[in-house]
Amino acid sequence: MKETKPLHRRLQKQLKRNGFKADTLPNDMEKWQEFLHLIDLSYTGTSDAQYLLERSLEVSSQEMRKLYDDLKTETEQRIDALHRSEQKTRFMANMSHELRTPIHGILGSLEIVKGTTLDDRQKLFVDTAYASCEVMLDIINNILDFSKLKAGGIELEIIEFSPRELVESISGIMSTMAQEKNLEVQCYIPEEIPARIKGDPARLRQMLMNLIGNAIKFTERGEVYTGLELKEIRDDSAVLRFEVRDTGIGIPPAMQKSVFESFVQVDASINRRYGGTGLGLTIVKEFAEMMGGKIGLNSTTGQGSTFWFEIEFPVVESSHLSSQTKHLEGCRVLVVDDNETNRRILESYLHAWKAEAIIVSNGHDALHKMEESLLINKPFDILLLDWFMPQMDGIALAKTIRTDSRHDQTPIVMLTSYGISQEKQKQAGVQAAVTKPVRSITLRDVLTDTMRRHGSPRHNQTHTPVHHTPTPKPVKPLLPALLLAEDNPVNALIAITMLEKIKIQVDHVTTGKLALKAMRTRPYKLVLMDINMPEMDGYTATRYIRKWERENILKGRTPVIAMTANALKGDKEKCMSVGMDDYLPKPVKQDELLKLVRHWLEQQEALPAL
Amino acid sequence: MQVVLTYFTQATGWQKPLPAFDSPGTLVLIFSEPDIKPYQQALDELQAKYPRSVIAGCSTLSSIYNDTIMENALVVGIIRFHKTRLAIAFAELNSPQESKQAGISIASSLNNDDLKGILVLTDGLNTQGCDLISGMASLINQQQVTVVGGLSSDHLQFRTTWVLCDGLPASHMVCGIGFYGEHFVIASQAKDGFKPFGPERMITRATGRILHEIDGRPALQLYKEYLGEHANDLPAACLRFPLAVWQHDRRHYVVRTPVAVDEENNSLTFVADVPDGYQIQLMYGSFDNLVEGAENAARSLIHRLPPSTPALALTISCSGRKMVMQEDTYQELEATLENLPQGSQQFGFYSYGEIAPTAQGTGWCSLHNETMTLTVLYEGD
Repeated sequence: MKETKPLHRRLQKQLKRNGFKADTLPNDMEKWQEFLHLIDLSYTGTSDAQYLLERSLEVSSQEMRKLYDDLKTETEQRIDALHRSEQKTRFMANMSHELRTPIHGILGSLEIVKGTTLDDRQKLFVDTAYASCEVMLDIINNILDFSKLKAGGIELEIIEFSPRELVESISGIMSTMAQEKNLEVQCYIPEEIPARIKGDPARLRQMLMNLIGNAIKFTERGEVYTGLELKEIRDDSAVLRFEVRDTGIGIPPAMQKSVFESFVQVDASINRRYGGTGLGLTIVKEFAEMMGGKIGLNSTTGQGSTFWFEIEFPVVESSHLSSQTKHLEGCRVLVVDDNETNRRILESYLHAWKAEAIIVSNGHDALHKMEESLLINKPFDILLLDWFMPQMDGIALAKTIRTDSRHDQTPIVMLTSYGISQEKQKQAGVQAAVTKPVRSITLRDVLTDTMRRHGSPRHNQTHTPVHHTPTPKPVKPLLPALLLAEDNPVNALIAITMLEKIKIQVDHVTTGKLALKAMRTRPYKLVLMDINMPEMDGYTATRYIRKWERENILKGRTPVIAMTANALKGDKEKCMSVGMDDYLPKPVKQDELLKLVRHWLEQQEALPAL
Repeated sequence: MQVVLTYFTQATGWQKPLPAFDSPGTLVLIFSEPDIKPYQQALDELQAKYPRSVIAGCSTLSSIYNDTIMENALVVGIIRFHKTRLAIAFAELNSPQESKQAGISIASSLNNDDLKGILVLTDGLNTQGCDLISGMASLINQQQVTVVGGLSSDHLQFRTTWVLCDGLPASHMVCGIGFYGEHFVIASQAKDGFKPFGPERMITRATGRILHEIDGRPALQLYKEYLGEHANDLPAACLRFPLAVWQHDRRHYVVRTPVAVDEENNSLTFVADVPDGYQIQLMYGSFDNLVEGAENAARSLIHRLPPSTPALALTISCSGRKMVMQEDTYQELEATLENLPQGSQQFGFYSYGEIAPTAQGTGWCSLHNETMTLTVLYEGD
């Protein structure tokens, strides 16, 4: 046989095993059979291998098909989610646009109203409304800024502004929030703070609002203090430290690092209890860092937290003591305030203005100091009284002081957390009021102005003294009036203001018990009764009124109108069942309130006088 | 070193006369049918002839005598070492759970500075091979000491397997023979010849010797998918479709043959642990592949032997291979022998589990399934 290609190795082996050579054929049948058996085994093996390869491909392709299907499903889901997230972003953008348009409308309108002739109280309300709108804008901006920060799309503005005005105005707005919780809101800005600096006041405002907002949110009692401090002067710039300190729940040490992270709150229960987006501190931190500053926090659980940030700003105009303050030089000022931080702040300001401050913490000590001042022949030039104090409040103290004619020439300035009516001021013999938190410039102006207009002659060199009788007018016989029982001061103020349209005296009490006490001292045409009040709620108070009327302890029957935020079904029924006559859901709208009050007053008129 | 391989049958007596090799350096290795009775006389003869020698052995499905599969015979190898010291140790195995302890016991008895190799023969039905090895490995330095051996077998009835202990067959027993001295050389090679198919996969759930999930899929279901029509022959078909199992390096895999399938739990049961996280790949064996595997074992080994010197190979192959190759099994014996140097001899047995290093170089000993293990013993200069 001609030698062709060598045989397959396997075949060669089988041949060899059976004693064959490639070029000779076996002649033994048995050897042939054995050889064929081996060849058969090889074929079987090969076809098995082929079959298994097919199986393996089949299994793998099935798996790949499944993998493909799973991936496809997952991809589709992801694309869906992306669309949804995109929609959410677009919705957020649209929403904020939609929200901002009306807010700008309100702000614009208020701006126009501000330009018209307003009395002090109208101005206060318009200012509050304006400031509240600004807060709302800030919140919306927070949400937008957060998404922009994530995308790195924020640029800082550099404009001139007054840091003092910035901090004071924010602190002022935020104090409205704090009033509901009866927190003291304090603000102190030393005189050496530069008058004008360059930076991004809108962002700074947002940062401070976030910090103060948190402080108020997490503080149940005590105070929230906002401070501005000059850390360092470097050539044409100054490092300012903004600080917000509270006496709230504090932050456990383990959490202090992570509170600046997005969406992190100290724990889940905090979120349930206090709400919030968890974005505030992240934004503050990001902004502080963008401004080249640093941020920090000190906190002790249960005692409070201090958040601060320090930023370097170019100085446009250094601080200068206004010539105005000269009027206060050497003045003797008696300060009466029960809150220590407030006393320190007032003392610092007065000290900066070179006034002589005598500081006491209660009405009793104040009266003592005043007596003493007469004895040593160094009468006070002006009195600065806090309204809300335990035992003897500012009004009571003022009234007491006005009973002594030796102090007739000493003007009184009242510190209040919200406005005080002219009427009340006059009644108590108070010449002026300053809203807390005290803004240094305002305080300085009010003190200077009050002394000039009402003070003793040595401060009235430029003006002919216009004698203002600080003593209260003789008390008129008691006229029928309207009684407002409402513990929330803001709600009360709003209601009282709304009721000014109706010429009727409004007496305001803050608990059910006080309402009952008032009912026994004078007759009322109508009672507006809040339901949730401390000591005694509106339901109980109304039950007593009805009981006393039946027992003739009270004369006639006075209609009682419930005012409540419990807009739940069945509330009205409950009000009626305890003997109330009508129901007004909160928030109270002026026209509804007036309509209701007029209606019930007319009903009263129609009745024969008892 | 002098070697005489012989066998005894009732019909023909000794195939070759027993040589006068008795010495403390003589090893008499005996591989017998599970039923020893017909060979008691031969055994007594050996005891009498080699009183000073180390006598060891075990039961088997079939013995290996050169290229012949011996059934109904007692295969005996008489090896007289001149420069090698021998020692033998036994450990009892009351239950498979004692395997590790038995391994520790054997190793501690045999361990010595000049220990070069250990041949382990053990009860094939009561030994956890992996545990036995890990017990030994805990004491000996495997860089210096090569461990080889196997689990004794019976006629696939899984009834009685034994090792020789003081000339008597003993179940529940492990026997270890230690080889000492600088001249002794032991070279071992394990090759299976199974061909992998399908992708490499991972064990995602296993408890001990039961494999539940592969790549998160039920193990039996996946196994059947691969086998296709062969799945109808389960569990017998398992022998042809073992798994390659390895932890880090594919090159050091061991063969694991399922011994049972659990339809209810969709799992496969093995004779050794199949740990979570290990990699696996399915394999198939055909006659050609298995013969080629045996051939490769010999080819790989030959590089580590002195050239052109006839060698003595101790051949331990798996009963499972014999079941796959059936009456053609002798071809794997031909394949090994014809790839060893001219004039080489081999003897050994078909086991229920082979013990040998996984790959040349690393030397780490493992329990194998369905593998041809070739071990060459010789004395160097």
